[in-house]
Amino acid sequence: MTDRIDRYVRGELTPEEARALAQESLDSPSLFDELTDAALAKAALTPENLRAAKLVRFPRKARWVIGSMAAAAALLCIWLIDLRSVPVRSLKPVLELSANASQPVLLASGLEPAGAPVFRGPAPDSRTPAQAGSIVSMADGLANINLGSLDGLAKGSELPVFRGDEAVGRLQVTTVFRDRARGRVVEGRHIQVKDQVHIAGADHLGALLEQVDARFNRGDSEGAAGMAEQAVQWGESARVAPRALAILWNRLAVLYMLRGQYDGAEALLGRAVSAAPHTDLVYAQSMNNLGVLAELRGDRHKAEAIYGDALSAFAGEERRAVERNLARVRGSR
Amino acid sequence: MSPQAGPPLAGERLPGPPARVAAYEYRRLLTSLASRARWLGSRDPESAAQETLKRSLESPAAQPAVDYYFSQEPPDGMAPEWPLDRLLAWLHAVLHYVVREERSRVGYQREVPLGESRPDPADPAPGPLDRLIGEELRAIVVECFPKLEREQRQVLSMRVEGLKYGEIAARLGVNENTVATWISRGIRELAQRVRRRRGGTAQ
Repeated sequence: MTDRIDRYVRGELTPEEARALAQESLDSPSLFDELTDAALAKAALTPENLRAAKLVRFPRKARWVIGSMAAAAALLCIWLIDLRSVPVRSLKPVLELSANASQPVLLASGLEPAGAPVFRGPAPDSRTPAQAGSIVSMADGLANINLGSLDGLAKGSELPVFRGDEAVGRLQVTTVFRDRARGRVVEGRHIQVKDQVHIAGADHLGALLEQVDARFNRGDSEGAAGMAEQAVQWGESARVAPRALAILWNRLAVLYMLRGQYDGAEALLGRAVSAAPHTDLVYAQSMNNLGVLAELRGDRHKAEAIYGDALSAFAGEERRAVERNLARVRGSR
Repeated sequence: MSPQAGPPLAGERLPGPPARVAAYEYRRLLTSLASRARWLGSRDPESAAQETLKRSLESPAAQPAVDYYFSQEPPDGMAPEWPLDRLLAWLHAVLHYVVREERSRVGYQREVPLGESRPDPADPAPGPLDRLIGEELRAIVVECFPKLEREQRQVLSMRVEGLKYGEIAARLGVNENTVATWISRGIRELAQRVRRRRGGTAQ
């Protein structure tokens, strides 16, 4: 076995031998893990990664000396430079806590920092989530509908069925695909093809937000902002819960701020702060983002006050981002 | 899907005998993936494994490799383009991402109470494997590679540069068998460190 694994890691197995090894691994979790970990190790060994490893490879003593020198240099810089002279335009809001500490951190759940890994299948772009669909076929008390997980459906979701304006029954979703689903008739005996089904507003909103996040995380910030605007428009017209609207407004505001559109962001954040309960995560996130906005406009006193308010509303991990924002504006005055 | 579940939707696989056999074969793979998902910190490892398999089977590049290496019946067609190690790295990458999605979805559901709704993430993007594990792989090398023995680092570096066993052997003054041994030991040692490293972060 050892010999075979050695040949596997060296890429010397024939396809037939590799298949036999794969089959054995299905009966042995430890072998499956060993093969997978070796595969990761092999995949990691690229010239670029090795160069990166060599760049950061210092002897422990050298690391200590370099670290000390860097710390001393940093202290010297802080003493010499009045950070108030740093022009506001050098600040650029970011989403990641691990980024340069001199940059203000924006907060919005769902949006990943730039460069975060994104995994999706190879299919092309998808359609916009729909809130209403119809039954395309029926058999044995099961209805196939042209809405799916893309539209916010999940297994177990219940959908009202309409014929024109008349409610004729309900379906419970049993199988969900990306853009279609199958449901069992749980109420109503005369449900038929072409009857309409409607998705709950909260589920539709969730689907729209998923699309916003997916587009942004894929690097399409313009598309994300466009989808978020569409979601806001829908949410405001559908009169969804204030808290859900606050989430939408904050998300769109962050997208605007990352694109340098600060004026549009301010109004949205103001509405989000007004709509969200003060104990809610989105309130704290929106307050933090208002603080970032004040900081970007050069008003550090206002930013400090807002960050302070935001901090008092936070209890979770994101508190660290606000603490860092607060420390930065305090340190720069 | 049971045979009584109504007519197949467009593009849906029919549940004939071959599909039932395939389902059995994939259950073994699902078990392995679920075990790994649990180790990666998933709260719902079975679902994560199913989602990983589903996404892999939707990939035109991964699907033939899954069929070839993990089907119980001897494969009819030619060997797939992907070698086994590439498939396993892919499966890990997808699983890792699915577990990450699961965690972020938990946070999302906390943010917006959508009842039982768990909409699928939308919007595909190309080159998923490279984009997904690029940073993780770099971190693996940066953190684990320097801890290998000097000979292992040397031969692996030369191999990555594209040198053949004979050329490496000539440079180091050893025979080719020794080079092959150092390479396989180096990768396996690196793999063990990868596991220990992930073990520290997976919980």
